Amino acid sequence: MKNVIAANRFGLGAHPNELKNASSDPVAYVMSQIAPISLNTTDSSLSIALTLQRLRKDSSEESKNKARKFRQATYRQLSVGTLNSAIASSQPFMWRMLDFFSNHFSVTAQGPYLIPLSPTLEREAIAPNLLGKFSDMLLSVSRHPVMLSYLNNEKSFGKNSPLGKKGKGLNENLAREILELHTLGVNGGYTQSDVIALANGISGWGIQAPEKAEEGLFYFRKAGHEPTAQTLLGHSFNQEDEEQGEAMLRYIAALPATAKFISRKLVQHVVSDTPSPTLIKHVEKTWLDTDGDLKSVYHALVTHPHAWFDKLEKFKTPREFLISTCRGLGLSLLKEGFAMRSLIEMGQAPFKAGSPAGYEDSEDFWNSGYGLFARANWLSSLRISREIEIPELAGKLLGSMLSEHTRKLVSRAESRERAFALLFMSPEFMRR
Amino acid sequence: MQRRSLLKLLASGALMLHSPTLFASNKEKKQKPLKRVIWILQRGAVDSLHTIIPTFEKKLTSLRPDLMTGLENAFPLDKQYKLHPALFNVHDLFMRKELSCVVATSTGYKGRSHFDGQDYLESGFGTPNLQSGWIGRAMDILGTEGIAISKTTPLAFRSSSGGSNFYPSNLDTSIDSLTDDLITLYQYDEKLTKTLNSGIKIKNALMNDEKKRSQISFSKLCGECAAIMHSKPNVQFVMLESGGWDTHKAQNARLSRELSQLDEGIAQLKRGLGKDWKNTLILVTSEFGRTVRQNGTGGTDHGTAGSMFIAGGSHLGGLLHGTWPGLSNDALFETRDLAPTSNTLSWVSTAIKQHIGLNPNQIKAIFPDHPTYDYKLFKRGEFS
Repeated sequence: MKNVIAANRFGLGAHPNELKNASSDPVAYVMSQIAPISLNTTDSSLSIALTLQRLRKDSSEESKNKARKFRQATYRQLSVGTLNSAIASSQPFMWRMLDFFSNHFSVTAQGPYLIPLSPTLEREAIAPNLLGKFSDMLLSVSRHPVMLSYLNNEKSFGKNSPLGKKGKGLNENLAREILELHTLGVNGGYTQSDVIALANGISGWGIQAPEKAEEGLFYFRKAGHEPTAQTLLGHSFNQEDEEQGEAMLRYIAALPATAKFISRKLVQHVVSDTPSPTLIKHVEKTWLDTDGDLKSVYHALVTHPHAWFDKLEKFKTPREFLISTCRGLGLSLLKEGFAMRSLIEMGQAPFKAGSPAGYEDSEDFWNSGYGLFARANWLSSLRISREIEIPELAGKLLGSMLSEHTRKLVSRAESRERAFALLFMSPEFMRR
Repeated sequence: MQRRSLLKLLASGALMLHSPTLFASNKEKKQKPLKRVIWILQRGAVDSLHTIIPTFEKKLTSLRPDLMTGLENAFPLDKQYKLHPALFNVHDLFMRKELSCVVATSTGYKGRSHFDGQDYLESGFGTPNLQSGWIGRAMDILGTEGIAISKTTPLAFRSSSGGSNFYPSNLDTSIDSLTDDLITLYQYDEKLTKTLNSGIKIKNALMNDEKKRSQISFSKLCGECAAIMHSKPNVQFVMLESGGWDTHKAQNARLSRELSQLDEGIAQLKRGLGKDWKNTLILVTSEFGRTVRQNGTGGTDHGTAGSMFIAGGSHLGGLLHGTWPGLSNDALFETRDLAPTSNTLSWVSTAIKQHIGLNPNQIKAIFPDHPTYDYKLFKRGEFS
């Protein structure tokens, strides 16, 4: 039973041999995955921005077309690249964490700049910080050109800054979402004046013109930074320049409300929409004790017995459904067009949540009549190798979670295709 | 947004055969017309006793009391057999002597697994072989082309040389019967049952709205298939798959629905083929039959012998083939199933040999394990 949970609840669905590997010590099996993961980073935000810049210089129709193609191709290639890595990974728990934080810091691929660049946020700001302190991740994300552009901070200037005196103003968008969505949570005890204070603290945080950039695209525009001391959540910040915003973010990241908000969200993501309060408390305490050390937080979650209950309570999102189906069938390297169409039709296109709150993460949202038919329809578009014995596969993927009812229906299905559809549409495959 | 996506989903059932590099010129006047074969594989095991009803069997009503209702208007055939009332067009063909029935026939497969049974039927060997199918071998030997209206390459189209032609379609003919299976699958899961029902409601509402888009059915598929055959005169073998036959419960309603689809489908094929009907053979088979006794849920379970149809414009039809084994306990196979008295694949072998006019070596290469029968199913040498 526990090996199924290791591969499905903590992982991304079993490969045909995975349950065997996870069976002797399921907890250790998950723990062993907690190590760095690598993503191909040759297409950096900087190199993409440079190409965009180059293509923009030429205003011919041909060049415009080229630019359009480049934007779409980059978006697809990077998004599907991540997806394929998750499908093939032997550290599925880490890819689950990447997906979790990527959705936590959700950005939407809209407009000529963000379409090609949005997939770089998780690669450059989240993946490298998955095993470190949450404050480092928060800082990386908040300084990343994609987040700065998406939540309009690149043109947010303090009232008393030189640019502010010329009539440019503050934009609260990023500051508000940092407090509401990324750290404290909407009930985290902040007020409008705290939003303004943080917005002032990060005013002037912007994006460098790519041809001038040396390392990354972050650019601190001193002329736009509010030069006054700020009081945020009753705490005074009088640092100079970009250090002020940095100190603020580190301060917020360390607050108990942040530990509480993200611990609960993480446990709800991995375990259940309604997880055990003891488990949440345990994870939250670890977060506070270790100053938001994510590796320790994962350990706390994975080793707690309340995370290993037998009932499958978490309904898979379309992305999880796709990844776990592909893992189960031993499919890897999905073609870009197919992968994108699949996610779009099932309702979860990459970086298209359309809200900084990201995609919903609950059964109430994803378990819909339309959703079920979309999944069934997607399954029917797959070509299943005849060599795959579906009833046998059912056991390999679901182990002792496979109910007698489902097992019977799958093995008695009227055709291979139907057996395949029933296995992957079964309640125990739909949930983890 | 949801509505639009669902429409797209339903619309994806529209036929999308990618036009291959087939040359459509067939101008040589003197050439013999191509003898064409359409094989309808009924996946899921058809209840033959509910299709071709042996009304002379007094025990039938006690063996399957709930399954005998609604058969009052069954069509009389011959020798006191009757045809299920949904099979209006099939009966019409029988009366025109363009269709025959074979009773108590099986592939020789003795297990009760759908997959293995279908493999047996599709490979056409006496022992299971997943490398080669009978249509694949026939196409190799005759150097002709074929189309499987199917999402995957059926085993029947495999051959050693890999020379089969196969054009997939995106048609989903089985969404209704899948829905039935999902209802069963989710019967212990309250939430999934609820959402499934809401999905069905949306789907039905759309179907009513969008009649044109919604006709994803086997009969429609047959109509499209005839159109494809019309536009591709070099295609000799066509395989159609039909599902929804695995009637473990509520058999009366489900079988009526599937049989009328089959019936309408065969009519569509004849209509669509027009003059070419004369040159076409239709074979309708399933992997095995179902239990003689009804089960506890108004249905039947996996059995052994079943029935088949042979039809075509030049077929010497209007006959009932096969020896009736009887329904007494001793006569049943393993005291539960109708016992086979002839081999389905031998019937297929006999029919295509006579229809296409194959020599003994050719037919032996296609069906090495299934000698042909001596029945005369076609007049020799009659071409349009």
